[in-house]
Amino acid sequence: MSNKQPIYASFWETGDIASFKELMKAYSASLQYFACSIVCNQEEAEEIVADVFIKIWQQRQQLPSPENIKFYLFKAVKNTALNYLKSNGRRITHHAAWEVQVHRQHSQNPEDIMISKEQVVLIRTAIQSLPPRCRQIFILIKEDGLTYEQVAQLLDLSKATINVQMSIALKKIWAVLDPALKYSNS
Amino acid sequence: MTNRLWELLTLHWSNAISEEEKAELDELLLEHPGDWLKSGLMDQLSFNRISVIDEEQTSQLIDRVTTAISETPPRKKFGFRQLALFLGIFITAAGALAGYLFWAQQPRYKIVSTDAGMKTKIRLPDGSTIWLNAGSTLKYREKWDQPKREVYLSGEGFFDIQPSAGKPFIIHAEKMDIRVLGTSFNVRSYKEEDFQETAVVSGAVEVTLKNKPDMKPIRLTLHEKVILRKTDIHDKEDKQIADKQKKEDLIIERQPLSPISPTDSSHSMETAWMNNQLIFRNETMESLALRLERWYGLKIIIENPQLATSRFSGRADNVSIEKLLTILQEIQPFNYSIQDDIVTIK
Repeated sequence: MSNKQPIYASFWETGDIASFKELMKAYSASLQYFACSIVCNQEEAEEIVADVFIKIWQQRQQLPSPENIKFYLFKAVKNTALNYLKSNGRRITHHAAWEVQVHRQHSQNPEDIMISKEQVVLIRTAIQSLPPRCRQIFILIKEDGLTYEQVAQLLDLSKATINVQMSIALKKIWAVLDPALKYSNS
Repeated sequence: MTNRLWELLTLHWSNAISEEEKAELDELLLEHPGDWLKSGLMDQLSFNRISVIDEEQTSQLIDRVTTAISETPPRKKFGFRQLALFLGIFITAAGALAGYLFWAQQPRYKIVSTDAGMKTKIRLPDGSTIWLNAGSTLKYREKWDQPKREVYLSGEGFFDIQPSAGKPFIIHAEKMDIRVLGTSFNVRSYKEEDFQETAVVSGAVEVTLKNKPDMKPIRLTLHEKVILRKTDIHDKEDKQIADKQKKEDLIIERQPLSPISPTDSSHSMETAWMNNQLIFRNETMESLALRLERWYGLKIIIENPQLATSRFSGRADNVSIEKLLTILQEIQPFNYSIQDDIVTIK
């Protein structure tokens, strides 16, 4: 997943259900995790995400199409989840014990140094040792492709805090990276 | 691994790097081949959550939503309630339109802000350049076609103003207005500090105080500065009454700039921040902590009130907060702890 604005945003004007389904397919897992980090319950998270999609479909004709649909979805999930908690008289949990998977991209250039399997394990251990909140910020930026600014807004933190947290995570990874390993010839 | 390199790398990873900084980064990486290789490795990595939500759950969710949205709501008769609703919407829309028209007439401003630990450079349409220090905001009109060039500053900035015939440049700070014709100078006007100053590096400026508009403007030339200091120095007893009655008197001081070294007058304390130099002379821990919070983007808590008022002098070029605290500890012993972004000084 990346920053580029996908074409399935076209459903907003055309009412194309296929592109709406693509949109749900692309984001529903990420959104459910995010909702779950607020309400701390998987079933409720699913309900919140379903509600958000239903509302967006029903109200899209009254609203202009958002500039950035991904961030719009995250914000809508946040607001819906907070309303949900409020109507139940509960408090925000900030539960985000997300486990993180590390991948190596296969390099096009055979001269490049490969990251060894051992290193990937080291990197994963380094990330697992981060506090949950730090890991959450890391994943919202690295996997979901949100910007620092957007994550700050979603988590009600300052951008400086996001900077510090990302720096903590990147420093940990940097510390276990080792370029002195063997060159790959494959 | 130097701090500057790390700083540039984090900027690069956050996609907030400018072209100049990118060039600097590339150059630094050439000098540090080990770090260059590591940054290449970093780019090969991607991360995602280990997911327990599988495809089936996702398609269930999609089905659920599709079913819900394909059930067309039953058509109701157009009754009184609908009419009232329709009128309501109409009135709201009319209000919104009027609001928009009003808003479109208002001047629109561009606002540039820096967080703690950040600096930025702004180029104005007239060719003037402004460097904004951490924790500062600059506001100016989007349309640059007024007879006067005006900007609003909160915080600290260095201004390099292009001369423009008959178009004076005016900076509105909290307690003073600075009027210039073409010159470079530094303005410091942080709300949380008890003084504000304007320091001239070249050319000349005129400073007027906001609370004394009829006073003759203070004219400053090369290597001069003016400081406005608040007078209410912690007289705790009737502070509340004083706050209400006193219209906050300011002491005006006029001084030459403070050169960093006695032999070189071209670099001064006032503009050291632009070269990433942190210089403090006879400064209390309390006021130094305020600067460090902005400089490093941290929160600093001083638990010992005696230490808060003890004074420090020193200079730090581009060092980490840990290193700086170690230097301060040598001047005056104290303990500290850092947790995430909160520094507690005991």
